[in-house]
Amino acid sequence: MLGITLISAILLSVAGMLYQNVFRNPIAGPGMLGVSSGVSLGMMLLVVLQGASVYGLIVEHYLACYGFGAALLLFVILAGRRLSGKGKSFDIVTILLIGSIFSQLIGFIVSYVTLFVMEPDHYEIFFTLSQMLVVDVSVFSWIALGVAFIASIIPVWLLRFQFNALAFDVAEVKLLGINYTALRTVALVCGAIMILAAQVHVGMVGMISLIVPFFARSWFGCEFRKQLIGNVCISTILLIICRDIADLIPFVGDGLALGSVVSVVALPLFLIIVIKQLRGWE
Amino acid sequence: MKIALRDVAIGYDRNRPLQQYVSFAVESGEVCCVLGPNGCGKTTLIRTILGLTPLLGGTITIDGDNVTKWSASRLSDTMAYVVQKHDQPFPFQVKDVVMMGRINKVATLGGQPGREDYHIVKNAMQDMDIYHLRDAPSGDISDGELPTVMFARALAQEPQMMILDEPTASLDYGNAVRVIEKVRQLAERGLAVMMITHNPDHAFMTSAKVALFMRH
Repeated sequence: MLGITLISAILLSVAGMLYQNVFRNPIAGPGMLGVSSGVSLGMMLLVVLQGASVYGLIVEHYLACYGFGAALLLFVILAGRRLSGKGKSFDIVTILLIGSIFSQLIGFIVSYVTLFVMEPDHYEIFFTLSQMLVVDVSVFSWIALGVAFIASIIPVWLLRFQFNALAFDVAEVKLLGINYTALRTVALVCGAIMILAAQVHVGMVGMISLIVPFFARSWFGCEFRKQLIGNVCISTILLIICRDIADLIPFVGDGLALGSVVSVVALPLFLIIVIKQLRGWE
Repeated sequence: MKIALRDVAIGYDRNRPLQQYVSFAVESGEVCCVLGPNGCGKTTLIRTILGLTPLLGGTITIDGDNVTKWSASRLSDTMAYVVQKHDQPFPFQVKDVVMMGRINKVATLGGQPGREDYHIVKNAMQDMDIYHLRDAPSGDISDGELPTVMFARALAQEPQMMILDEPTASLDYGNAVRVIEKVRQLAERGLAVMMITHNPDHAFMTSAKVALFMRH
């Protein structure tokens, strides 16, 4: 379980760092494209259709979660590209708006179905799965996470110097000779795969991707390669501490939901960020 | 190297161009000052040369080759642009900002700056007298120092031509004179320099050609 937690921590923080660079916003989160709601939708449909037998359907579980998350991402990117203004092949604001609209819409559908349509025992299963109260450490889980990790982290590692350009003005980057659209697309897709994998394997722990990149920038510097190292170090330590705290508190399955512990631990850190933001530079 | 504009029309509306029939050339070792009142299309001209704004008419060539068909990478190898405003949401260190000038040279998959790149960046910072600021966050340096950082980044690109948009706009008199002196030295080194300015003295100080724009 420790290995899955560590890998997920790295994926979450690096996804946060990528999105904060792409959106040039120090408090941007990777949930902005709505991938998380796609995972929830897949999980909900599986529970509605299969009921309690969903615990035995490991392959179907991952296919539904990854499939719906990836489908939503693809849809948002294609729709955003189609609806972007003339001459703009990839308008980030349009994509964000579409992602936000579909995220809200799917969130509403999931909430409605789980609250008013699902049977109570099915709701309990859905809650257990979506909050990852029982972390799956089966071989298939490892394979799925490993593939997602390799597919997303290798491009980031190879482009770690070029990704610095994302934080600069679009016109400036083009004049430096970089294909900004391609670079941004790679960053968005890799970040989405990362957040998708992390959510499927350890649940909703989005705060990691919000606060860790901030502290990595403060302590390791803004240069992408230094940030990358900082994110790996800080996120793994933070998530291990949160995992231990979650395990110590008896609740359901392995313990309290990791996402809840992360939120409690991250709250004072987030307040520090807000205060620092109000003061100016990080 | 010679950049030549022939009957160029610039602007954002084909039916109402800001300027048309613009023709002039700048060669290696020359400085060309672009002068004119606000809103006459000086920055639009530069944006058009750099491929950021569509060319409405005419041709722009470098050594006879049509620039509008060039890739961003090829343009960056030939021309460096010193931006007027630099908006940075994250406090990159000055040396990291200058290193961005090398990004096109190491743009291959997995490419990282090597010893030579660090040497060029160090020289560019020393050239602009900002080496002592190398570890400072770019957000902490003064408005007057920031243009020199942008200038150093452009130098790190090792271009054949430098395009500057009001490089002395936010500088005090001393720094402005130093930047203009640097422009003159660049031309002496063999670079072609095109500079937008509101100060006619800059043309005298750099022995420049002048392209004078008027508002219609």
